Amino acid sequence: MDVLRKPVAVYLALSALVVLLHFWLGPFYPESWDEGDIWTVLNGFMAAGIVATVAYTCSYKRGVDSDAGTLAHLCAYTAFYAAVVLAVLFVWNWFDDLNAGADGQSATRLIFWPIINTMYVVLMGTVGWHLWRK
Amino acid sequence: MEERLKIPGSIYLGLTALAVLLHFWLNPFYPESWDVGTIWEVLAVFMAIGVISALTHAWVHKRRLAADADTLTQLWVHAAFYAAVVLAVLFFWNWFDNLAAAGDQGQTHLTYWIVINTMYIVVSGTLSYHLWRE
Repeated sequence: MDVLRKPVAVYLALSALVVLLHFWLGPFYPESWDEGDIWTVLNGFMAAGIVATVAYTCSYKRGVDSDAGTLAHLCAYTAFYAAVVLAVLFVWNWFDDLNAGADGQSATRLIFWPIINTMYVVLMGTVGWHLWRK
Repeated sequence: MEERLKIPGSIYLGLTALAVLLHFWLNPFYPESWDVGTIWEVLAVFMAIGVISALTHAWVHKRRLAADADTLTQLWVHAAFYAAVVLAVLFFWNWFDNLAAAGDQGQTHLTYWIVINTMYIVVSGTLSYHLWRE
């Protein structure tokens, strides 16, 4: 799977950058651009990034040597569980968004998107960087 | 961060953290003639500089960390860096939206200011103390 390492790293880092820029700059778009439509497209790419990250962090966690230091274990476990939490929250909110209709999502669900986006940017950026340098 | 910037950086982060804390706590007691929103808008500019400064310091500190540093030090440095990244992502997202909305933000954005202000006080206050003692 080593051949996939660099392309996946580039994909994760680029998708993190695109999400960050859209997250920050959305309010400045011209009125003719629909921010929601762009999120709908981005969500598909985010789903792929999250699946790749859960798979990679799971395999990384399983591969940590038993005699590796405390920090190595902590990093591997934190990355894996952060990816799992992100996956649970993302899919929960994404599926609701796909089915929300004209009224849009509830206030409770809307409040979770900034958490999901922030986690996505930090986790994909970190895992992408880690994969690139490995 | 260069040696000569440590003390001014520490004072800046400490003072802005204190100003945000006092305004965050005491604004319900302000006279009616004081516009709380306008004060936040001014503070946000100083916070933006503080967030960039905190992120830079945390990143430099992480890069310079010795490989044989003890686990607690490594943990602290990594935690400070990722907290600064999360703060930067959330702060600029909400600040840009505030600038675009001319202060008339939605409920989701307003709720996140509470998280951002609290994170700013903790992250900047801690880094300020660390820089001062370094």
